[in-house]
Amino acid sequence: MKRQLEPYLYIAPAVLVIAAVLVFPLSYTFYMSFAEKILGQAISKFGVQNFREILSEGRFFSSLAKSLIFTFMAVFVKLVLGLTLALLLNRPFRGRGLFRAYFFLPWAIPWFTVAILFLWLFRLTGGLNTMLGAVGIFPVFWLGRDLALISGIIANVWKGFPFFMVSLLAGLQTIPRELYEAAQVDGAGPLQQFLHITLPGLRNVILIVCTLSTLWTFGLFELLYIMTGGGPGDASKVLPILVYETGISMYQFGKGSAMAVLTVPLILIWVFVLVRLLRREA
Amino acid sequence: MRLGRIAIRLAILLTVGLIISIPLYWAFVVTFTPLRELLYFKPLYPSPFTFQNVKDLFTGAWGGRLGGYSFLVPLKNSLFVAFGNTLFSVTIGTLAAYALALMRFRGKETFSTFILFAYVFPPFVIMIALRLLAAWLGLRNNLYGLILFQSVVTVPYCTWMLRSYFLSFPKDIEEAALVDGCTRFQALVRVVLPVSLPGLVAAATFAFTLSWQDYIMAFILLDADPLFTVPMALVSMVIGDLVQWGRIMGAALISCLPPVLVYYLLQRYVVSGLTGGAVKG
Repeated sequence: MKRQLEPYLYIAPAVLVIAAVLVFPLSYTFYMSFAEKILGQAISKFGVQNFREILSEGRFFSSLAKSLIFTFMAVFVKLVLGLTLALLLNRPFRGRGLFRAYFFLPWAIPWFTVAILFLWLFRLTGGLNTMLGAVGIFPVFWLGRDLALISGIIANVWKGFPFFMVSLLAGLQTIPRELYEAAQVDGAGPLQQFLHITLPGLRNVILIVCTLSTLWTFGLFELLYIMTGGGPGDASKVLPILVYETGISMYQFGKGSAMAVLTVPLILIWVFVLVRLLRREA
Repeated sequence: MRLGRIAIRLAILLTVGLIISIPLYWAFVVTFTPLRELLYFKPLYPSPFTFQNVKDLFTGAWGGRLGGYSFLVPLKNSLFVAFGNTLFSVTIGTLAAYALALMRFRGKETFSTFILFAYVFPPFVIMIALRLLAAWLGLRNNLYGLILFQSVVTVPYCTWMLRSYFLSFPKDIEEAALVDGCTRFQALVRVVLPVSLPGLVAAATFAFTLSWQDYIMAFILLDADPLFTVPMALVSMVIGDLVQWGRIMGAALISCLPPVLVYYLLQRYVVSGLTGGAVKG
């Protein structure tokens, strides 16, 4: 009997902490999403009114669209850049270690610092426009209505690509050299080798890294919050910022929770994919 | 032909490298140029070069309305939270990882998935509930509360990382210890942990940097100046009438140092830890 109970005692503290800080708040978010509550007062009404309101407004959907654009564009560019660098750095040459170490640097810099670096860079009188001015180009509104989301994507790519690069480099090392030699004997060119050996060999690593990065990028709050606050207007109001604004700044607890709840299915799908991928790999 | 290829490769690497350096280069310019010169003359390099911004950080010129305080105050808060959080999450993570890696019990797979789920779940979804929860428990503006809230990320992270580390631990050795009359706990402390020390150190340092970098939990919990951790203190300085860019950049660069140091020293663990051992760094 004691034998059977023991493992559960070891995992109990971790499970309790996660239950207290994640499972309970998540359940409470679901509960709140059906409630109408004003600050300092008890819940006044239960029903689907929050969802009805959100679905009729369109603001949620435009935020969702921005979040998806932000996430998928950023992940795609990170993948392309990371894969390119990994391929370039896979062959041994002089100074390779130096390049590897250098390209790794942005990944080690915290998000809030990245946000501040790019806030200065993209300001109207900031770094980029000063450099453009020096060569006679007019200042660009990097954080204006048209470009704010793109600027956020650039900052996200800047910090995130090294993770792709390092993971893909590690993946490349596991592809047996003999495959390439055999392909060369059979007369396959570099492009064919890439398509038929490299890409299939990296398939799992690419999938895992993309899923992880999708989850991280989609849930990223602080980068755009610090850089633009979601603005100007709603131009870069991705979902995390909209949920914060609605549920915390404007004290619409129920409505904000309902917005959060609507994103849960999407997140669960990604987590499910990730779990499947990791289990297949292990 | 061969030489041409090497030249192209170097050209691409150098170009990308140059583009990547731009934000960091500007941080350097902003930190070492006086604010007035920076804003009026828009220099492309620090001129005149000054250490004043960095000095101001530590002489009580940080913070806005409430009069100045030293940047050491948020540094101290961050250190306290990060150390507390590391101790907490490594202890709990070790216990859970030991069970998940080396014991047999029903529901093991489910628990592993649950831990992974907690690790990747985006906290913004529960931020409203966390805010309310913090108010009920009286954890607003409480650094112990911050330690607890941050552990929703660090506990799963430590568990996950140590689990893959313990999985490579030879099972026979642990079994031999059990046969010799050790309890499970003794086997953990006397046999498994000493051998797993490198993994333990790696998990601890990463927990430390994760806590150090945390913005969203601090943002949910803290709203008073003297308790701000480094990220909160930095961001609170950006919002204001006259932004003290020089000081902010100086502080931003200083606050990068611990994570940068850790990531370089423990590069080997960075990738494999994050991907649950599926990708070996």
